[in-house]
Amino acid sequence: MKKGIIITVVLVVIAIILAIVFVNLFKERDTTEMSNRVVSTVQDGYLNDEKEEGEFETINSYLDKVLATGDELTTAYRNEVQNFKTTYLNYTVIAEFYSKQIIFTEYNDAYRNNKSDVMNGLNNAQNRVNSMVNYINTNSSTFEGNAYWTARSWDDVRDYVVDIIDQTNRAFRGLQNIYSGCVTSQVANNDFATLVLSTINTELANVLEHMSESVNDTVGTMVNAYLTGTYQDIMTYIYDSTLQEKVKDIMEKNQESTYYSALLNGTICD
Amino acid sequence: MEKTKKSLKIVLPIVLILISLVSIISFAGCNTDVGTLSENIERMNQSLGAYSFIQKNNGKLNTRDYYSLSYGAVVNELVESEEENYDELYKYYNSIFSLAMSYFDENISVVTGLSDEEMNDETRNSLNGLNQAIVDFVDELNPFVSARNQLVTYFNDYSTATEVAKLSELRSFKREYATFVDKAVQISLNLSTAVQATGDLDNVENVELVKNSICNKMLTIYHKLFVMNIGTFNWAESPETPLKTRVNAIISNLETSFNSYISLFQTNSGFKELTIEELNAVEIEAEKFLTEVDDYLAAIDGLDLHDLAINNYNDLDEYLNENANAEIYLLKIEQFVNETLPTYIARLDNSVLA
Repeated sequence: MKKGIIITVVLVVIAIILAIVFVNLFKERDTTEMSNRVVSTVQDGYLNDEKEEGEFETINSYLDKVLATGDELTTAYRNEVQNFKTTYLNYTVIAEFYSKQIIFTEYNDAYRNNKSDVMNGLNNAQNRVNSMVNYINTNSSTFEGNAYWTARSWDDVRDYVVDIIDQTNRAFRGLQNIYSGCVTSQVANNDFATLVLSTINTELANVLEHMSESVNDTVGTMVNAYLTGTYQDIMTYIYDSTLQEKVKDIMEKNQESTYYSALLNGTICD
Repeated sequence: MEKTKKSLKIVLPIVLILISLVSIISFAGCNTDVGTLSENIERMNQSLGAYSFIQKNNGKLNTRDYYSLSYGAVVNELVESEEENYDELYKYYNSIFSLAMSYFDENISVVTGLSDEEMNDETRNSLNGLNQAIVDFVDELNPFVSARNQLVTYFNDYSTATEVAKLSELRSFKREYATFVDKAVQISLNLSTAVQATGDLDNVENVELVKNSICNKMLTIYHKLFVMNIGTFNWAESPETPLKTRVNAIISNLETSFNSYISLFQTNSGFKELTIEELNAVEIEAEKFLTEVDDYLAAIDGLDLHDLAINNYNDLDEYLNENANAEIYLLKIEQFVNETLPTYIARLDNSVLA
């Protein structure tokens, strides 16, 4: 009897282990969860710049009010506000680009290694945006016609802003790795796209590092040149041997390439 | 203890028999040889030849008229007069069926001409798929013939039926016709796989074979949207909305592309003499393009025009509540049809044709 019970317990344990192994072996492996998160953030979340009374509109209106306070704002703070304003707009365009390609991806190591950065980055940024929006809405009456308090409010929100940029940059780094490693389209996923997206990420990191300084909107220039419309330059790269030579030169020589400035200026395809 | 021994005596033999059966069935599935394949091809040709309404026009290989199907005098007239919804029977179904069977008839000898010594494991495995596709097609013939006969009878007997009723009957027939054409396309795709497995596509002497193989794989671009998607319901009758305007533009561009594609499919003279490097380049570019095709096909599945039209009345904004990626799928389809596809057809034309 005792022997029978032991054998039964052992068999049950083995069956459970085998079941877990087989479920993991055969469970569907796809990138749906991550791609849905990106799409929903672009369509309904903080990266939607068209939603009426959405997070983007609320924050953007607030930033304009802060900038309008004139001399009440220090130069460093003015730069921070301006940098955040342009960066937030750029984020929405970059995210929209990713959202159009990211649902056509395959499951592989690049996805596994970067998924958490994307998910956690977007989630954390969304939470900080929500907090910032809540602060803005709660104190909206204080800001009304009061330049002094509006300017001072930046002290309260800049922590949100730093987190939003930091976490969104984190998500975009993950997205760029997933784009390069997982997007199945060999027309859309090419060396030029990788170069553009990785350079944008580098410039976004520069924005955070030099928030208090007057920074050229290199990200905006590149985004407008390469990530809007029909993404013609990216989509025709595989047929453009001239561009391929330029990209190869930049990938070999980085900032020392003669084409690097053109890349940043959005004129590399000219 | 005695009970356990008794149980084992019953259970063990049953398990052993089941394992043996599974093994026998598995091994049986691996053994399609050229002889069996040829027999099934003969059976398929005889089955098709048994129906006078399915007419093969040997002089029209690689055209949309390689096969002509008759749908009875009443419907034929509507098709020939290009009546909306009816003209699709020729424009899409007949045409795609013809092109698929053209490819098959023209290239099957590459496989059936092989001896056992010439066949490797990959070729043998591909014959299984091809053989099964042929069997599936033959099995589908009877339901298709029944549906066709029902269509003919209905339009003969109910000439005074309402337009709504007639379109409903047409819709039912189209669904069966779609399955029939799909089986034919699967045969051609499986043949393409088998041809690839022979290694003949790596031979610079076979530029024509390479072109045919690439063209055949592209047939699914048109088949998926025209036959398997909008072809399964009366798209022309669906509500007029901005979304419908966009999709109509896609259909129009795809029809233009289809004509270019048929011209490309049809051209079998004046091939370039390629070096091995040039041939490899053609095949590499084809491989990249076919990845785009996969995304395009996935986008069509993802968009689900049937659901959008029938359950959401072509209202994209409403549909986004149910299918958040719908706009993205639509953009992907537009990008592919408007840019990627015509660019590739032009390049393929320049790469292989003199």
